[in-house]
Amino acid sequence: MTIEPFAPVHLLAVLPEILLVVLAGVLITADLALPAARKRELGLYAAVGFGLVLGVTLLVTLPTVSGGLIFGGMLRHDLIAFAFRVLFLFAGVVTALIAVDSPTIGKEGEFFLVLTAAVLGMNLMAAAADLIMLYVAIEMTSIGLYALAGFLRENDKSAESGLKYFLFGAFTSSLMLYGFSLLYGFTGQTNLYNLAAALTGLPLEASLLALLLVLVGFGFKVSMVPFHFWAPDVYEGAPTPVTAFLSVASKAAGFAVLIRFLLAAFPGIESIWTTLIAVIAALTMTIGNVIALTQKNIKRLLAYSSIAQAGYMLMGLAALSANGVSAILYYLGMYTLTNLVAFGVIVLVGRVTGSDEIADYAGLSRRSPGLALALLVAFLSLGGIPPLAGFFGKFYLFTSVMQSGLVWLAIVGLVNAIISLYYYLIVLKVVYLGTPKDEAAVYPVPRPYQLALWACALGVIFVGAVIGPWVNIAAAAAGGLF
Amino acid sequence: MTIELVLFFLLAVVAIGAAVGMLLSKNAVHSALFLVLNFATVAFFFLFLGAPFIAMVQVTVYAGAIMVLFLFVIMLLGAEQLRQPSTVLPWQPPLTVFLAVVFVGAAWLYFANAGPGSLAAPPPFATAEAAGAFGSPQAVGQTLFQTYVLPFEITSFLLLIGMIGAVVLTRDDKKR
Amino acid sequence: MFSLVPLVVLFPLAGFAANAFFGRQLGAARAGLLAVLAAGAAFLVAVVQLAALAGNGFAPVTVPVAEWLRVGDFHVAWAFQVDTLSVTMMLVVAGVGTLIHIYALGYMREDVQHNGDPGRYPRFFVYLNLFLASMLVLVGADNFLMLFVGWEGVGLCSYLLIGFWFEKGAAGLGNARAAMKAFVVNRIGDFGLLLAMFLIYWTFGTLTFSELFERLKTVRLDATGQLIVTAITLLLLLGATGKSAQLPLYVWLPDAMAGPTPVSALIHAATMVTAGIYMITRNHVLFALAPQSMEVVAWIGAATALFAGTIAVAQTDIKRVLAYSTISQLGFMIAAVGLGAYVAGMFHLVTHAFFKALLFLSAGSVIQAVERGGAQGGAHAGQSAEAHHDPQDMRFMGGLWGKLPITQWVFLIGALALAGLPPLAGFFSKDEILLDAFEHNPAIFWVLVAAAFLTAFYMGRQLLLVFFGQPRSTAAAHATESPAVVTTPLIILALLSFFGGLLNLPKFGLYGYAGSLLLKEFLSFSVEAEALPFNAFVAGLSTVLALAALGLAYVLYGRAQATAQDRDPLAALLGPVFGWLRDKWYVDELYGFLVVTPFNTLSQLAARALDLGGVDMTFNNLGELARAVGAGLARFQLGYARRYALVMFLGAVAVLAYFLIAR
Repeated sequence: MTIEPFAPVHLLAVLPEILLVVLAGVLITADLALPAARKRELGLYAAVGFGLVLGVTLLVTLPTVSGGLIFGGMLRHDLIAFAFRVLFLFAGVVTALIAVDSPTIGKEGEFFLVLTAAVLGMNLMAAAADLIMLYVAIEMTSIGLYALAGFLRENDKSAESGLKYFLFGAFTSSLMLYGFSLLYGFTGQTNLYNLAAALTGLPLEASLLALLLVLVGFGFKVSMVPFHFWAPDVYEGAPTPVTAFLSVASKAAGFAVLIRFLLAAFPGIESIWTTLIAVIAALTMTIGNVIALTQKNIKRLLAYSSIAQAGYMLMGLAALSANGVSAILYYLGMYTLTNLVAFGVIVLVGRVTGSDEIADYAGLSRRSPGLALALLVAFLSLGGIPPLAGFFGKFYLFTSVMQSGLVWLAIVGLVNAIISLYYYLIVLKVVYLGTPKDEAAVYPVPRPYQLALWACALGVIFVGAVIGPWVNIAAAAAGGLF
Repeated sequence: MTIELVLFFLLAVVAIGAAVGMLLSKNAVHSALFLVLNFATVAFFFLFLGAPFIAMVQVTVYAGAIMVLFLFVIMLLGAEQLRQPSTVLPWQPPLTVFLAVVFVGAAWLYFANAGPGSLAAPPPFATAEAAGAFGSPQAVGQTLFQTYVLPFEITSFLLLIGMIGAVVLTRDDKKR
Repeated sequence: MFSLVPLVVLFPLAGFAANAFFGRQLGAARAGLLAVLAAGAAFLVAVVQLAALAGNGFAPVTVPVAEWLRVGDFHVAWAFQVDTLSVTMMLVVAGVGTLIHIYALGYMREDVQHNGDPGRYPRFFVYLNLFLASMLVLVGADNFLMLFVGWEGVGLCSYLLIGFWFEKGAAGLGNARAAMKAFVVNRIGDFGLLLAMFLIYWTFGTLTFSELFERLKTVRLDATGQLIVTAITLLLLLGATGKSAQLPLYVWLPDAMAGPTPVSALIHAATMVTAGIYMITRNHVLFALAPQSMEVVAWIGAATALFAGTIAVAQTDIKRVLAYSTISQLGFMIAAVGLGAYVAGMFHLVTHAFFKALLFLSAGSVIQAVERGGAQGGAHAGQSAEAHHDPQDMRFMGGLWGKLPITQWVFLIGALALAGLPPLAGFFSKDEILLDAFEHNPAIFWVLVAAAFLTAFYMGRQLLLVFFGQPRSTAAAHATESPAVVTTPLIILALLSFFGGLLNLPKFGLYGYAGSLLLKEFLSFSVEAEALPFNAFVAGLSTVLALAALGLAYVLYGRAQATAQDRDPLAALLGPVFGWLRDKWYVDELYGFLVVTPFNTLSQLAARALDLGGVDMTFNNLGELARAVGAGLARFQLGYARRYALVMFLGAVAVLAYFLIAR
């Protein structure tokens, strides 16, 4: 793959990232300038800012031809980077909106600033085509997320979650960096797309060892087994808007790099790592679903649920086909919308009842039918019930796996989908059929919140009802990788 | 058995010993000093590999700035003596050692049975100038500011975020 | 202008949504008006489509709206097929639909008062608009799947509307039971349609009509292929018998009369029940390849026509007579399409929509007139000696001529049109069918003639029982005419029933003339159409028989019974047979014995022994197993960071081991 010499039009390709840096500046200034009474607006600025950048991305940065290496080979300007960018920015908008009225973090300008940095890092992760760029982007994201997870220092759980996240992140990051350095050492190349050619002359062991180490780092981000242990503790302890963002954007970013890295750098040893990924996918799904059955805390439940969802998506990777990757993309889009709705509801209920235990959701349908309905849509989509988007996501994943001949994996996936349905429905049962402890509790839903929840919930339904355009986009993006 | 190989093994033993000492030492300051020793040996390795610039950077930045920072923090916090961990997992250390042995053994087997193709030294340099210029500040600077300029810029932003994150996590809760 | 066609569905859908979410805020009057406007707008769009077609030389046009499903090679879109056949249906559905919406404005106002729940008024229009939208999706679809969506949609709305007064009816359950029966019986038909769709896709690889028919043009069928096509068409017929109430799946339609009268008029006379005929006509290319199936279709139609006619002559409920009459007339239409006479079938569909809707709506007007009379009469005479009777029972009517000036005339026109007297619309359309039967299948011709005789007879009977003679109850004696909002649509429908024949006047000998065979010309762009020349024998025979039947009815019922308790004169004539006719040949009981009871027993068995005992037990145990595993695994997650790191390391070692082996 040739690296294109610098042309000013390349700056357009990174315009969203430039704008995000500008947004960061605006947020810092606003944080200094605004009086305490108006600090709430910071979140709105952040949301609007993300929205504007999203608009610019959609209008300006759509790549016309499939991928060119720009900025000295650091970034690959292709459709898949674009698709992920849209995802991250959207997640940023919604996270900012649901954090706006939070009593603990809503008034902190630094929160939104670090959020911006995390989104910036993720954008770069999705587009990165060079080991160094990849590492810097991963660190940018991770450090931002460590700070966000541990943002509420007074809260024991938040501090613990931040610390654990940091420890594991740093640990796996260093292993991954070791892997990167091995790759450079063996081949003398840092560009992903030149690695594959350089690795073919070398013994198999070299690639495999590097793969192992790299997999540790990416596996942590994606929460695949056996690198998933941080997820439940971190998800439970972090402030809930952060959990929402983590579960959605961080996972998507992890998949972005995983897909790009494995397909670009290790095509030669496909036969070995596809089986490995398939086994890991099966384990991840099963462990995530099975442990979720026993959870009493809804954030922990969703943490295990997202571990399982990562397992499903890994299936798409094991399929090793354009269909598989496009299925992952579609699934990630659906998953973003769905999880944001679910966590949106959890944030609100947590604010009013002060608790995240499932038992405290009893009778939510009577106290706030709108929130209960949103939760219903989200959980049914996660469980894979047609005609919601989750069903088609799973359907495409299973199809791609079976087309690649891994029928056993599809069967495991199906069994897991059935198991997962149980714990989703249990929560819904509590919400709809339980008796509320406090009939009179009022659930005020602030305006920005309503907007976010409505947009995402309608998105879940719509993306499921009219699947054609989304699948086409995903397929086009995936095609650019093969 | 060249002199370089002998020196390498010697320094390698020192490096690993310092690392193990850092892990096992009960005194935080001793740990930090072991780490400094480790960094110094690594700097020597860089010298052997013909990268004097990086070696100096290693000493200045790592052993110098970062370790000094560590020592400052340790002394400010008064954490010289490490407390006993509140819960002890009795069979975890032996299991870890066992696994480590297995890992090293597997890796050894791995590379011992390496197939065709060579992991031997890369091809020698074309000219003497190239050999001399390798790893020099000019070479590093040129590559850094030409090919890798984007990560460089992003790193600056990353440092800002790191700082802000650190400030947020450690500031006093002022009345707002 | 073709691109406006999605509006034909979107207008009623918007009416549905607006009334569904804001019906309570809008209030009864505005909700009803909104629904009427939505229906009217849909009709206007249909008219625009007609104009567009005319401008396009009547060539068919496909208007795609959105992608729907794309899985591998399977591709289905939301798209409308605008051709003369679908536009005909759209005009009938939307036109008659709008008139019935207007009628319902007045009718339902009284009905909700009579049944004691005024708040339910907007809900009626919600369902009615949804029905219209679904029916238009059905007739406008360009592929089987979209048609099926409309098919199911109308089935659902039929269920909702039949059971509109769900807490009323026999024993507080009757209406709900009727709704259930309609839904379940329709389901059996739908099953047939679904199987046909699967077979079609499996054999021909597409569900889109235009693609399918293209493929069929060049197909050459061997023995297996012929078998498959026959199977497909028979399954399609099964679907049609469900929706269009033919033998053996007609049993739901008479019970469906439990719904309010506008529902009976719109759904169970003019539109939904015609879906089966439309579907067969649409697939005429398929049926043309399976002549045996067409035989079956024709015989089922003819047999149903005669069978239903025999039952109609003995019914006492004014709406039941019309219900069986509808089944019988649908039999005529099905027989027509089975004979390959698609134009005749569609012609009768259109005219039948006019006069059957008219008859049902006028019957509704009569029923409400009697209810009003009952309320008044009861107030006048204090507690009446008569038991409180069913206002729909014809035995308690009579002598209404003169009391209901508009209703009486429109009812008369509708009845004579149905009986097939020239020059009313029914004569021309029925005559076409008889003509085609005469030319192609004399056996069916004589069956249909017998059915036509019965049709005239029971309509005469109904006219005489309802309007003539002495009033047989105080309610009938005090009946008053309905308001203008109710009678105006009736007048419009009466005019259509009178002049509807102009749509397709026959040609004489070989000579057409200006204005003849309009419908045939129109439809010939979508279906093969032949027009047989006018045959004086057939026309004469049908007219003479109609008059004879009316005469017989006069003889039996003219000197009317003096009181409600008098025995029906026909009973005297037929003896025990009358009882069989009145009890619908005990078909419901037969089905109950053959199908329903065994099915219930099987269900009980499956539910208790198999499901609870077997399947539940297994899955409960599996679930416990999963939970136990989960609890066990959860013990790894104790919160110790050191433990986590260890397990990660273990994982890494495992992967390395795998690499060693897999290398």
